[in-house]
Order: sequence, then structure tokens, then C-alpha cells
Amino acid sequence: MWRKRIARHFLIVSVLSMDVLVVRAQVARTQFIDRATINQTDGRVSVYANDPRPLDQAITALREQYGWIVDYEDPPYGASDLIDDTDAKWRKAHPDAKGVTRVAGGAFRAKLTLADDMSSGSGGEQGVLHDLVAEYNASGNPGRFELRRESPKRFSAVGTGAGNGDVTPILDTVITIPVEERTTIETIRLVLRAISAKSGYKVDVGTGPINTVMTSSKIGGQERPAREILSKLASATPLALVWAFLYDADNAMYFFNLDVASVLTGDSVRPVVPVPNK
Amino acid sequence: MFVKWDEHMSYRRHRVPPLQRTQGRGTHSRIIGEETKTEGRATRQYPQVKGSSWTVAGGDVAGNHNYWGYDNVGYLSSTGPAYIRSNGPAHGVSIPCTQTLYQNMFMYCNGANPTNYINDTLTITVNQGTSVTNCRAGVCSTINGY
Repeated sequence: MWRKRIARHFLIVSVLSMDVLVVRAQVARTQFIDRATINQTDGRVSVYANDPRPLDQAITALREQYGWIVDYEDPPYGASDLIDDTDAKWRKAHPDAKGVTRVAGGAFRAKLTLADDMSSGSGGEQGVLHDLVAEYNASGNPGRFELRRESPKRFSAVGTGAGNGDVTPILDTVITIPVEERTTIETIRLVLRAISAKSGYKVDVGTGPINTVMTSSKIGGQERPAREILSKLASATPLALVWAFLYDADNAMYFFNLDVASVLTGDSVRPVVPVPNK
Repeated sequence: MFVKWDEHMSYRRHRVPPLQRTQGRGTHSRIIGEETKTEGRATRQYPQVKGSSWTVAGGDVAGNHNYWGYDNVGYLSSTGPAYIRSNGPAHGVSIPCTQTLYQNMFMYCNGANPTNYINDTLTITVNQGTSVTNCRAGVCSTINGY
């Protein structure tokens, strides 16, 4: 009898613990916002992001505010960078399954000083992005990043550290791609295959603007960092492209997502226009 | 008399990963793309609107009026839909799941400000099994093997 009572008590405690975990994950999820907010006053810009990847969200808002071209690259997150994201109903139906996680980021605020010239590629852009990354690294959110300039008008926030310590950014992987006329998407696939073969990570294309990646170019490189080849590709299309190279820890896999670099117009009819690749 | 057309497609933060149910919308939030070769169009678009004599004069010069916008309907590879099917339910994303994109076409009359001429709703649905259904203005096609 007492064994049954203990067993029932243990079961109730277990279920409660599981529910608390699920509720905690869901409460955090509802606090997320779709888009980082930006306020510009007295020569300073305030950014507020709330997302599993708040640096990515903050960079997106800033680049769309000023028409910048900025890429983002996750580090390979470790267990301490993750939080349970398993759906409660799914968990009840699959009590013994492993479950799933997400990056454990959340709220992030930064206040940055503007320069007179905030145009794409300017020192003003570099200064704001540098300070943004520094503030992020001090915020306690997952991952550590550094800012790199890939070309005169292209920057990248590169993940260089995770809960497990320093990491080698995956796009630092040195690869060789023959310089031949191909569509952008064909070259991207070759690059990702080469990265995968050398790094050991599964890597694939995620999302992207289709007809833009169907345009052709003659781009490759001999023993060059993958980032350098991708940067040339993303700068060779009619519309400037930016990428988000995102890591899924549950599958130990990277997805290469492309987006058209856009700038806000302030016009309610046509609020966003693409950034030309000049 | 109209003199210029322009196109804009709402395209924001549709990526993988993560599969993230966003505030009860019940759709996956980050996945997108269209394998253009499935429509027999693996190369640069012919600079004319299909079925008309309208020439897209702006060509590929981004930022010009009357230029080809970008098309995001569908998937760049079958990995994305497969990822959604295998990982989505545990994140609370039910299959089939549909993503909705909004597209506008603008009309410029004699140099005046743009007028929103027409709105279009695009949907991309990851089905059970190995197919994806894309719909433009209510006209749908299902692509198998995705």
C-alpha cells in the first residue's frame, strides 16, 4: 500500500516538474517579439530585441533601418546555450522521446552612438555594429560574436564562442570551388557541400529568394575561406543578399538562409524596398 | 494613364531553424523558397510578362521601377520540408503547416506617389508525406518529392 502511495506521489511530482519546465519554456516564448524596436534620439539609437537569437534580430532591425548589408552566423551552441522547447501536447503523447530545444536567448537592449555618416560601409556603420556586438557579448545571452568586414559594404557578425568555449566559425572553413559560370544556387550548394565535407557538420540550404539565386555568375576560389566565396556570391546578384547561417543543435546541423537586403522607406504604402547591389 | 509598375513582397525572417510557433499563429515561421527548376525556369527570367507584351524595362536593376521582384514561393531544397515534418510537431507545429506571404503590386501614375493596385496572398503548405502545395491568388499546385 505504502509503495503504491510513494509511487503515485513520485508520479505526481514528476508530472508537475515536467509541466513546470514546459510552462517556463512557453512563458519565455510568448515574450518574444516579431521584430526588434529602434528609437533614435539625440545622436543615439536604442535597440530592443527579444528572440531566441536576439543579436540576429537586432542586426536585422538596424540593417533595415539604415540600408546596411550585414550577415549573421551562429556558433555551434552547446548544451548550456539551449533550453527545452518541447510542446506540452507532443510531450504527453511521446513521454519517452528526447524532445527538442531552442537557443536560450531572450531580451537584449543596446544604446549606441550614431555618427554623422551612417551610410552603408561607413565608419558610422562599423562603429555601431562593433558596439552592438560588444554589448551583446556582455549581456549574458548565448554565444559570443565578433564583427568582421567582408567587403567595403558588407559586414558579418560571426559566432566565435559558445557555452563550450571558443569555436572555429564554420564559414572560416577553407575550401576550393572551381571558378566557373553557374547559377548562384548551384555555387551555394557546392560551397555548402565542401564545408560539410571538411567541417563534419551537416549543412544545407534553408530559405532564400528564388529568382535572385537563379542568376548566374562566375565565382569560386582556390583554398579560400567559405565566407569569402559566399560574400562574393551574395554581392554579385542584382539585389544585395544577406545570410543567416543558423545552427540546430538537436540535429547538429547548419542551415544557410538568404534574404534580400532591404531598407525601410517610412512610406506606409511601400514600407520596404530592396538595397541595390552597387 | 499608368507609366510604371513596381512589386513588393513581404518577406521577413522566414528561415530554418528554428521551428518556432509564433504567438499562436500555428504556422512555422522560418522556411521559404521555390525550386524554380520545377517550373521549367532554371535560368534568368525572360524580360517580359508571360502572356502579354509588357516589357519589364527596368530589367535587373534593383531599385528601378518596373523591375522583376523576387519570388519566394516554395523551397530551395527538400531538406527544409523534411526538417519541418520531422522536427516541427515536437516544437508544437502541426503538419500540414502553412506559411502565408503577402504580395503587392503598385501603380505609378504620371510620376505621382505609388498606388497599391492589387494585393495577392501566397501560401506554402508542407503536407504530410513528400509534397508541398504552393498557391498564388488561389491558384494552387502541388509539387511531389519535397
